[in-house]
Amino acid sequence: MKKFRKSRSGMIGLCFLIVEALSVALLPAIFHMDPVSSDVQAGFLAAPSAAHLLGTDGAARDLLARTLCGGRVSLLVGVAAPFISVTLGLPLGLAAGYYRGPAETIIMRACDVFMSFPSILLSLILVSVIGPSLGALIGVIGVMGWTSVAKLVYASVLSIREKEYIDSAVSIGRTDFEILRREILPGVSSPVLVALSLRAGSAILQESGLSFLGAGIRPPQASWGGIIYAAQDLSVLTRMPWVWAPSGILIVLTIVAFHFVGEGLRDALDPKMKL
Amino acid sequence: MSETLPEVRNPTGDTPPEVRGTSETLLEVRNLTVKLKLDNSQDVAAVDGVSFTLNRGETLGVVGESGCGKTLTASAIIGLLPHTGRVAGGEILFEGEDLTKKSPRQMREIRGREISMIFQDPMSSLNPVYRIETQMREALRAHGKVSAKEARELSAEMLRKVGIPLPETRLREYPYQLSGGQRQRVMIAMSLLSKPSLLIADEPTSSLDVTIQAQILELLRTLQREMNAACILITHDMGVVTENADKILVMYAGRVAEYGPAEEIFSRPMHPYTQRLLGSIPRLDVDSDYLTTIEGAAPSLDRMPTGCRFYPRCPLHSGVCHEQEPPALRIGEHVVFCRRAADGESS
Amino acid sequence: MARYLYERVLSALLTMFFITAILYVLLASIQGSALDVMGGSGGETAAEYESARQALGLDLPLWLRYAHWLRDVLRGDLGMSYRYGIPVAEVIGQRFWPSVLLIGTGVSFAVLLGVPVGLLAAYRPRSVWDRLSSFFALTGFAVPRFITCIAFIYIFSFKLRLVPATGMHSSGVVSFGDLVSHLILPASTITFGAVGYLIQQTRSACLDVFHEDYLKTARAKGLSELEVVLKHGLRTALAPILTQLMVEMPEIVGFAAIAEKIFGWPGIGSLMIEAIRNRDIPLTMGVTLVIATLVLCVNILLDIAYGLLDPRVRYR
Repeated sequence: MKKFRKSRSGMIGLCFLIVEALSVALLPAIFHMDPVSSDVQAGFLAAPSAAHLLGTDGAARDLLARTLCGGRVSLLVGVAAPFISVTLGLPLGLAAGYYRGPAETIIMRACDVFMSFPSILLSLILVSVIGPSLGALIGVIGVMGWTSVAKLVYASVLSIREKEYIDSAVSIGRTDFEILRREILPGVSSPVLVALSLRAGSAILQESGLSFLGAGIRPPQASWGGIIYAAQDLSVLTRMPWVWAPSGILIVLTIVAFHFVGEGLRDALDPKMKL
Repeated sequence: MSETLPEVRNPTGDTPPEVRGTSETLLEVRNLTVKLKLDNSQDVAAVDGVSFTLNRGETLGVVGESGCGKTLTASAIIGLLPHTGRVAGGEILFEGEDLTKKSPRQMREIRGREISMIFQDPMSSLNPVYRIETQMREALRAHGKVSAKEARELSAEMLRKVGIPLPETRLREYPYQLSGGQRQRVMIAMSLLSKPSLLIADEPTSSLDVTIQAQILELLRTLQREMNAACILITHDMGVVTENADKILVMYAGRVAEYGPAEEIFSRPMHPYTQRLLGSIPRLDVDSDYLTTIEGAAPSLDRMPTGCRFYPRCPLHSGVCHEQEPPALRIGEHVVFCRRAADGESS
Repeated sequence: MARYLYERVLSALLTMFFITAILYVLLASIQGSALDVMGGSGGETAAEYESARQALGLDLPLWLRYAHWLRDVLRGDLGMSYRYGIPVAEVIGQRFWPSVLLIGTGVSFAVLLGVPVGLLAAYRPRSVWDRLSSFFALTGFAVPRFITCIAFIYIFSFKLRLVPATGMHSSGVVSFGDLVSHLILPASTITFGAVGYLIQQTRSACLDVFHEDYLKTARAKGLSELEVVLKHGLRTALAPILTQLMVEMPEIVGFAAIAEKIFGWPGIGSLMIEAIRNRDIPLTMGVTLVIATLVLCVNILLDIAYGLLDPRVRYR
């Protein structure tokens, strides 16, 4: 971790994420912000003012509160979904890379099938089958992410297998489970760690996309993608950038921050790692 | 480096007659210095004051461990230094003209026509996506219009010369369809297509099997004689140059350690480094239970020792060795940069 | 080559079978509610409901329904759209070519831009080009596609007033120039989304190639620097660049769907989003089939190109 601290962009990314997480978790409670109820007096789609620092949305709800609460959704998805991806992808990738044969064929074929269809459309179908909710969103995005984790794990298992110490472990009579746990798992743990933070960025990307298409978090609950959805109205898009710009910028910054952390981790663990 | 050193290394009045250049001289390198920019933007002399001469049809063996500057020297001659490198001093006189003063365009005219080069790994020195024919034709076409038919005939003939059976068929094939030895033969054929007067072979046999190595060296020798081409044979392995070389240049850490006619170097190596290198050739006629290896590692570019660069690994070093640059000792054409050798000779 | 192609086509067909089967099963679970969307009023009797179910074949087991769907597809019948009440094939027919035009234009420009920039970035590390390439790589995955679309409309259509924001034609105008002016914005968002990956891939493929000895050989032959870089460098790097394009293709189509929706471009991507929202299952399946076919056909074409570019694959 000492090496990670040397990565300037990695540290900046990490600090940004910590500050962001603390703000979205604490600020709404501290200032008693209400993301759901309408302030009709302030007006619909009102410009930023002292009462509503970021203005109000189409239902006269405070946009600052909604933006902060939307951040909770995004960060939650960004942290939770990758864990589901790893939970699915890690064992499958290990099995494909270690056992080869039919397991490899089936698992890698399945990867190809998943990867040959636009994931956003597939997620859209999945969410509409399950019904939109935060849990569904996390589940779907997590499940959709299994392929990239499995491919990554598969590739690194293959390269570890090449090394002779696996042969020697086999020759002294270790069981498959022992070899996987003692020899292979440590070797794949750094790529997986890096993948976790890189997947976080893309999970947030997908969450915002789905919410934007109306298949994620449903109003009145707030999400960044949902807030930006208002920009589909041409007059909001062109004349009221305060409605959609803050959420848009926050999405981009959050994804970039996760990416920097991922790259910093990669450089600290193994600069030659290919992702 | 001290101010007086260049004089010591290349004393003006002391130049042996051979070095001054005769009509037979093809290449004369004088005091060549190549500087490399390292990652930490330090500028270091990776080749430092190297001089030698090469006559037409002769072979010079350049021997040293990896990183000693032998490949950089060759790259400087053919004008293909990596972009972090530059010639910082000295002259490269080829056919009497200084190559360091040529424009990139002029160098391109010389490359492939007058001077050819082949590389260590025949697996990666041919482009995998082009047929052999295409790659050989390029070598011809880079220097003048040749019809496709002519090119094919010339290439096939050259392939036959390097001992590739069914050359017409091979021409239609891709590199991955050939074995390593065959690829190196193709490389040799390609480099000789334009009948160059100088061929630079950078470790041409290092990645080949021992039996193939001997065949390739033999082939190089024959063709070179036939075409009267001079050759710079770069290797880390003294064994490779025993048969082929007329002269030997032993380099250590960017500098010349010893330089002279091959038979003298082999019969009377004077630099401890050369002696060690020779000791590490496995010999059948000497009964020995072990190979002599050279202990330690060559110094890295940014941490060169002062004085003689070899002294940390030298079994004979004395205190003076790391305080003063080693003097040049010349016996005819034979030059050695070693204080102990010089002391031994004068006493 | 024939064997190689045969394998690719076979695996594409297999992939297609699995995608449609998975989606069919998924969509079947919301088919009941689809019936409600259709009927709407909710005033039917149980008997009426049952007969509607039977008319749609919903009383049959799932695998049989899929088999029937597959049989009909092979006969060229994609079924009737619940929503539009006309054959799915007709609905798709109207929306297919606009998508091909949009994606084709966007991807072509991404290649035309991305490959040279990536090449220059690899040729001169730490140059302006290299920095440009990292910038585009970062924006490529960090900026959600819909934000790109919205930002582009805001900047180029509203602030700069260069091009119209939405639709495919201005009302009542049918001219090539008008079509192009409507195409520019959505196509450039696709270019913007795809170019980052392409630059990155070109850069790393070229960096790998630039270290190869055969570039030294080419220089030693006396070839000009341009020949060395293009004929030996880029030409050899093309195969891995194509692979990247293949991997990205589904995502580009997905992005195109979002762009189509935001820009009101009448393509199959926006059709699919509508169909899912309307629970129009035959239409969703139809579009799924078309998109999967499109992606796999492009991949087979790229596979052929790969084989032509790299002889090692051809003779395997």
